[in-house]
Amino acid sequence: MRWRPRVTPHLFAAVGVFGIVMVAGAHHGLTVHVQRITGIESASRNCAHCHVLPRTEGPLSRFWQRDYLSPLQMAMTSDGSTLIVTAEEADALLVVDVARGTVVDSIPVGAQPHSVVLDADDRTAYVTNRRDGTVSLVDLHQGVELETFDVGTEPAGLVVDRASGTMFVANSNANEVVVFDLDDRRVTRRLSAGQHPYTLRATVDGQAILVTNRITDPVPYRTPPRTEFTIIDRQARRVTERITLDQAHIVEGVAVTPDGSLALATIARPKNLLPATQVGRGWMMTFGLAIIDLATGDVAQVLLDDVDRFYADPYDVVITPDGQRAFVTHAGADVVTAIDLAALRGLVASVPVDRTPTLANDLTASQAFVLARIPTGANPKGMVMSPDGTRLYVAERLADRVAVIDVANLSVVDSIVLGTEPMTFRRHGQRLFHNAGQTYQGQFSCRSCHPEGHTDQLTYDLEPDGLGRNIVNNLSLRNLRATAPYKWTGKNPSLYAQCGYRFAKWLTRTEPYSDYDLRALVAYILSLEHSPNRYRTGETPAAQHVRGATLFERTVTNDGTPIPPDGQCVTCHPGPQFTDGNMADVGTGGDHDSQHTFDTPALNNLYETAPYLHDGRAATLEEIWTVFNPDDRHGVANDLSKSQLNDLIEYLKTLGGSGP
Amino acid sequence: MRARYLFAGVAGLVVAGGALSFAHNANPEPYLILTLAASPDAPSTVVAVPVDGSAPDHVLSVGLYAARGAHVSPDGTHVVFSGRKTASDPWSLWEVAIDGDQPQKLITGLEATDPIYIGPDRILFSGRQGADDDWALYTIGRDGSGLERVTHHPGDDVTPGILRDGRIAFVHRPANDAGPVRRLAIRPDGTGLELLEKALGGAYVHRTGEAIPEARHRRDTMDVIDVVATDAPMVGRGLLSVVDTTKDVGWIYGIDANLSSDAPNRGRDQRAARLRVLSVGSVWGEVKVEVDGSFFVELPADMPFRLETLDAEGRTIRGPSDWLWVRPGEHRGCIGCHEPRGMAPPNRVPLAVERTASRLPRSTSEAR
Repeated sequence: MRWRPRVTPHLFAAVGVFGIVMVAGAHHGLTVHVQRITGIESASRNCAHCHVLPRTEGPLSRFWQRDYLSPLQMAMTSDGSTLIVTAEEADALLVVDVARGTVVDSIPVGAQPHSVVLDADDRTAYVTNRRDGTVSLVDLHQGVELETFDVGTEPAGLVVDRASGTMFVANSNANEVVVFDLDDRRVTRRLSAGQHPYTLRATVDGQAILVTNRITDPVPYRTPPRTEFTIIDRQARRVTERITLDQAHIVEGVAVTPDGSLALATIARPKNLLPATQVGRGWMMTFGLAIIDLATGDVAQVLLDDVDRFYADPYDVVITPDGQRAFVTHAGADVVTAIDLAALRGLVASVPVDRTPTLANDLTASQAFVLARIPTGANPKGMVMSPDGTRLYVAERLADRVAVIDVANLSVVDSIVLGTEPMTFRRHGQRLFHNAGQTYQGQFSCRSCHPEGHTDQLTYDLEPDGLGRNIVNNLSLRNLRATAPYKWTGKNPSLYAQCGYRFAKWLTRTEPYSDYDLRALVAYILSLEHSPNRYRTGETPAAQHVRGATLFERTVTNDGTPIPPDGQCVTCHPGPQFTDGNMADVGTGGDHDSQHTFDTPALNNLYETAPYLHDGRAATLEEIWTVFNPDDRHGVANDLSKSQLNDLIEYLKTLGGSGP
Repeated sequence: MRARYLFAGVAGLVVAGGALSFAHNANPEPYLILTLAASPDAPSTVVAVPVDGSAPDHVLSVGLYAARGAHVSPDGTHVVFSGRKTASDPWSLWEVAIDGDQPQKLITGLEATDPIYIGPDRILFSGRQGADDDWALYTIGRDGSGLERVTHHPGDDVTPGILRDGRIAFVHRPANDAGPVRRLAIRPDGTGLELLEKALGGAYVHRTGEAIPEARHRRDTMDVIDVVATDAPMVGRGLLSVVDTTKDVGWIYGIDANLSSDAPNRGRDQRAARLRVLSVGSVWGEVKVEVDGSFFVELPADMPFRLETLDAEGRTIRGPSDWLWVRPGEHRGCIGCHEPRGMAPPNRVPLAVERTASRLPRSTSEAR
């Protein structure tokens, strides 16, 4: 007879109950953890979505991450056989055999290559590297980078003037176009541009260089954006004209008609001054072209949108050699718009000058000149036309492909695969961020207000807190990790809450993101980083910065009076993010604000994010203390001399980013 | 031996589970849903016809005298239609599984027709309280709960359809035929009323009880009045509601009351000084128009009103407008009065929203 312990059933029962309790407890604990972190009750409890898939570093990340190319801009050899493509996320220049549709070489260049220009012999290429602040000179035949030129901060657009041995480079983060002498290998002149100069384009006669600027000039509080279109005399190397594009913003691409008469520049026309009560019919954002008469400087604006369908984030514009057609990429709509230029000219000519503001808001105007909307892959950006004008090549940035469009038939006839296909979690979020499909009638993407994850430097009047109330200064999305809570009101404990249900209800006015999409989007946003800080140069901090740092951390005033902790800068703005994550009332709340305590902002790369304060009332850093801090509630600062305040501000500009 | 049985059992469970899972997730068999009638005057029937002909047709409107206006659920598994049990019954809403034959009545106490799914759980339809009342648009849950009226102006709102962007387009015939028949659009919660087409011909107006359009196709001995496919249901975007049921007011603001595509009355071209709010048979009051032409006014929710602009002497400049309404908690923005439909708003701060909303002299409770 076998011995059977009498306790076995009880033991099994006890183990079972223990197991159930453990599982239930773990489930409950997980739920509490997720809700505490995200601030939303319905968030999924998939650990991988937060703790694994977003990770881009570490030896195991190669199992779920991929190296993408992100083709941005292109040039083509004069025989039309080869495309030269900047691969923004691969720090490389791709050489593409058009006939075979394959990448034949990948040449390492600097970080975040942007524009590419070929020399006359098609043998060498000049490439701006935004993150490095350099221009690479590349030998395309040997497949090597020959030389690197230091040109400034975040170089974007580029024109090479072979006759004079110079190049013009738009240093976007320094609001300047520099003239770089290729023989002396040095910057010989710095020309003040608008805010964030982006694309440079030579006129047909080569006498002038046109500059688009992405961000509005500083404007009085709660007035419309006003973006400069800069014209530079190539030979004199000076700015000859600063044309104002009223109401226009995020001006990026530009092309000149072959007869040299007109420049077409892509524009956004935000409605940031209106209460954001609705989206349809362009109540949040419209997109179009500025048509600049290069002889007179007159500007007309037309919309590329339709009444019930919007074409977000126009980026580049290209015109056929015969001047009959123009093409515009809409990076947020995955579309290229084909335009009948004669019809567009006719429309603009038919409208009296005093009616041009009406034309600029006319959503039916596009019916008169749009020939076709050509669907593309994800995030179409730069374009190049074949020399014979029969083929248009479109960089599909977030698809790692180049679309080939038949210019006559206005359809995609081929697709050149450049890189990897599998979709990672972060890449999925990146696509969502740059696509307007989540918004009602496709009106705007996250990127529309946060170009490159940064800020458009505008203020907005959002609906839920009342019309005309609680104006908010748009914030950068870079370096957000460990800066919770979010919103100026501090209401959102996480980006999941920030981009969740209320975001859909009050901003995109559609359905919320799915849980997977939301997490992918947040993973992408949390991966965004500030640019290298251009105020942190050299091996050691400048003396002025040292003096400013002392003031930032001071505990007594100039006359030795102790400063209470809540009057010291460093108390609320401690490193590394320069926020303590708490709410504070610094005396800046106005009559139109429902609350007077605001989330303490992080200060990284502060110099890039004017205007300042929760409602954008301070146009400059100086105004924070000279105008809006009469009672020393926003730090004890009224005892500072002018030079001390300068020291403090110059120090603040160095916070965050890389550098000494 | 025991191990073999155990293994076989587990394997069987896995296979069966997988098959069940596959069956559950597989797309339902595609059908065409036909509305058939023997003649234009005869009662119609809703029939499901398998696309591949693998099974016989089956009637979905079993037990009903007449049925019409079928609409397929977003997942393609159910059909909702209007039907009635006898010739004298009012029309009602009925829902049935695509492979079923027992339609369930969704609503009582309201005559209801032209139902459409506006999401996985909700249906919008045209309904009226009694034979003498106007047709309005309503929404209701698929379980019959949460009935909500979403249009609130005099006249008939009929033949709703869902647009790809999630809006509801419908035909509006003003009360007493006072004005042209128009196609309007709203969001599914009744906010954001806008004009789609100014004047429709009579052919657009299609109301239950009236002559049905002439059928273009015949199937056997029947006229095919309507066809919808279950594998291509009309699905709009799932627009979230902004209606706040804790409020009984909404707000409307205009950027410039002087901006209009209509000519001013009797040649008056003065700038508007005040805005008059009219309701059915009464005047609710007047509010100030700011010097930039903007206005911002709080109004009782879910009640029809019209606006007209007045000069400083109180004479009408333009108006009255078409009938409008605001839903509870809705903030409605207008560019002007009778603004062109294709016009995006100018980007400027309206003076009126710098101040709190004007309130009408009569309280909202009185207005109600």
